[in-house]
Amino acid sequence: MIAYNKEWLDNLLIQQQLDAAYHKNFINKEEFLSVNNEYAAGFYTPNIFIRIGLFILTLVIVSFSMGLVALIMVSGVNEKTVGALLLFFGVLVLGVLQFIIQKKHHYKSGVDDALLWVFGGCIIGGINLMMDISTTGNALLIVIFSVILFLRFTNALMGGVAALAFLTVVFLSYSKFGNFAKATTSFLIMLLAAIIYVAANNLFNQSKFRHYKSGITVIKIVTLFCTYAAVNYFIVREGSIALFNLTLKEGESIPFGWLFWSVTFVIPIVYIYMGIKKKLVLFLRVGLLLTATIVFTVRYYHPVLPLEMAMTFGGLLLIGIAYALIQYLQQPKYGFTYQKIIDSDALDKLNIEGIVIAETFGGVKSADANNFFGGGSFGGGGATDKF
Amino acid sequence: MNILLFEKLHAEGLIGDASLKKIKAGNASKLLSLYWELKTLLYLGVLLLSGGIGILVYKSIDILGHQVILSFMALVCTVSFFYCFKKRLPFSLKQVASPNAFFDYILLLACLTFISFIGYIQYQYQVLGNHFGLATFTPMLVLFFIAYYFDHVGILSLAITNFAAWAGIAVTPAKIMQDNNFNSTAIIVTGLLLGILLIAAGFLTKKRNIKAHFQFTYTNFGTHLLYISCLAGMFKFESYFLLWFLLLACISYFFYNKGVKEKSFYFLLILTIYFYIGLSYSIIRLLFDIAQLDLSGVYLVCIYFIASAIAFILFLIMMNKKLKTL
Repeated sequence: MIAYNKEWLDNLLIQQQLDAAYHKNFINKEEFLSVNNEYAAGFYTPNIFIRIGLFILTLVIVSFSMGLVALIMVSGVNEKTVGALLLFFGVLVLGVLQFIIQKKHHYKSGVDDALLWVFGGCIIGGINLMMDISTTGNALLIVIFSVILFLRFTNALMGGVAALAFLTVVFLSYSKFGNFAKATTSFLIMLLAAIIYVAANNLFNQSKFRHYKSGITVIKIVTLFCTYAAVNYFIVREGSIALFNLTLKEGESIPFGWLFWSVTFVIPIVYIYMGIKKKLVLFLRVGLLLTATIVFTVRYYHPVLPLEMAMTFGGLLLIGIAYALIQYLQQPKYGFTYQKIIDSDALDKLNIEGIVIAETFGGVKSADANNFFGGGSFGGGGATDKF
Repeated sequence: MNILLFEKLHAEGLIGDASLKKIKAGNASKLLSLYWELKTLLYLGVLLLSGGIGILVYKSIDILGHQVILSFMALVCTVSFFYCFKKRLPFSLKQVASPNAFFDYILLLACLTFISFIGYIQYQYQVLGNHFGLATFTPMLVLFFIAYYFDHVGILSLAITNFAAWAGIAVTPAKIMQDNNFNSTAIIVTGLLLGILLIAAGFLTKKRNIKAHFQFTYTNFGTHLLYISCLAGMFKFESYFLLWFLLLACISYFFYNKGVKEKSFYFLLILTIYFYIGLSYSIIRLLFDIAQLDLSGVYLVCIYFIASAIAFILFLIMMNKKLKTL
């Protein structure tokens, strides 16, 4: 089912484990090299920056090839012919993708990533131009294709797309069944997302699905967020108004508002609790992020404190919590530590922290125009959008 | 880690007894690092606090009066600097680790309040006068000094941003395209000079081994500024675009050598993208303005893009191989 050489994929998994063991100094260099030699993978996987470059350039090639063909057939262009052309291109791209993977052994090279997404786009776009399809139908199409592509090419993001599209299909079709359905949609989606999470979690450790691990992780993250988003008070209230034409007065609550309010609060806390209790990084991070949404949701409806006070106190609180935890975790406690575990991180080298600081705090206004070069106007607007 | 896998490798004789033992022991004491989570919390805290205080101060000017607010800011600033001064590790031209987890953030808080303080007294009392951009020049000097003295790359980024602001350019990633009018000759020239200056600073930093780890920050700011200014020049002075293309080619050659020498995939990607934009612009100008083609030109453009993208893919693949074997 998988397009890539499975034996090599297995070897990559072994190499990953080996890398981790080597970084922690569990094994020595000879062992590291000899195992890597024994379990070599012949994939072409370049450095991440080269991968980005190859991704962009592949997109350039594909789009201008399409443009060229469209130009040649410039006479008699209408929606149907463009649709047929897109489908034709999709098939062609799929052929190239297969070739690149099987003959050239590309794996996460940027080229295969780009062709995969182009194929999906061509097929969905082409079918839409050929015939009229409802939103639900489109979501269903996306489910079908993303599942097939995920299974065959193991692309992690494709797995996330499949999960999201599936939840969308259920949401769109279920809420059509009258008022009772509309009232219960939130809980159905919440339940379904949770079920998908549990199922994905079960598959995660089965060796049969070992090549889908990163995709399953993305599905887990997506469903964790969806479980919460489905019942978040803000999303339910504003979503009902926008999608179900619910009419509410300013400040009026939705039916069963207290129920939504309580889950809005409870779920992130449960996530964090489970993250700590079972040492699940995923739950911990998602829980921390969602805590911020609790604050936003509450402040949106009940601005208890003026913004600046909330920011000041919130800042103090966060610094206090972080201070206490860092002091507490100087020595590892209950399996948690403040020490960095693996040092060599590609992001570290790029010094992301410095850039973030410059971006968030560096809001210095440029000096007045009369500097060395005497003049020039400082308006908005960039010179180019190609950056 | 997968113990079964390592037992299998052990049985195959690829991993020794001692290593297997270490792996088993390491796996038993599984530690979860909260390093990045806590750092993020701390950072968000500083962000919210300094932002909140900023608005608070702004809103309460009428109630408290300038002196009270100024003294409050001076107090926060002094206390933070005093703390950093007390706790700092001895100065060295090499990289110095922070004495503890909060040092960097307190220093950041100190610098931010310092900048606000200077901005405030300048706005209110014009102590630094209105000449020679002293109001941005002074904090810039202080920031550079602090970045070197306490060894803080984040403050260095702030200092560079201030330096560029003093010269009249915004250089933070989101604002570099938004806030600058790259249609103005002054901005383009300033950008070019500033870019060269920053790259030279990065070069000297490394060569003289003065805080060599600051090199990337200098070079990164300088590279983007230089390239964007060069492309802007190319788009603005249309009739001389070939001259600008020559400059672009020289810059790219310089970064090609630098990227190969330092084995930096990042710089190779950057130079490829900017050079490709400039090259494509020049080719399109040549086809439509010089050769005066019409529809046939559009065909040629399509063919150019396909061929050139293939060529650049081959280039990147070649470079990937070359850098890996170096």
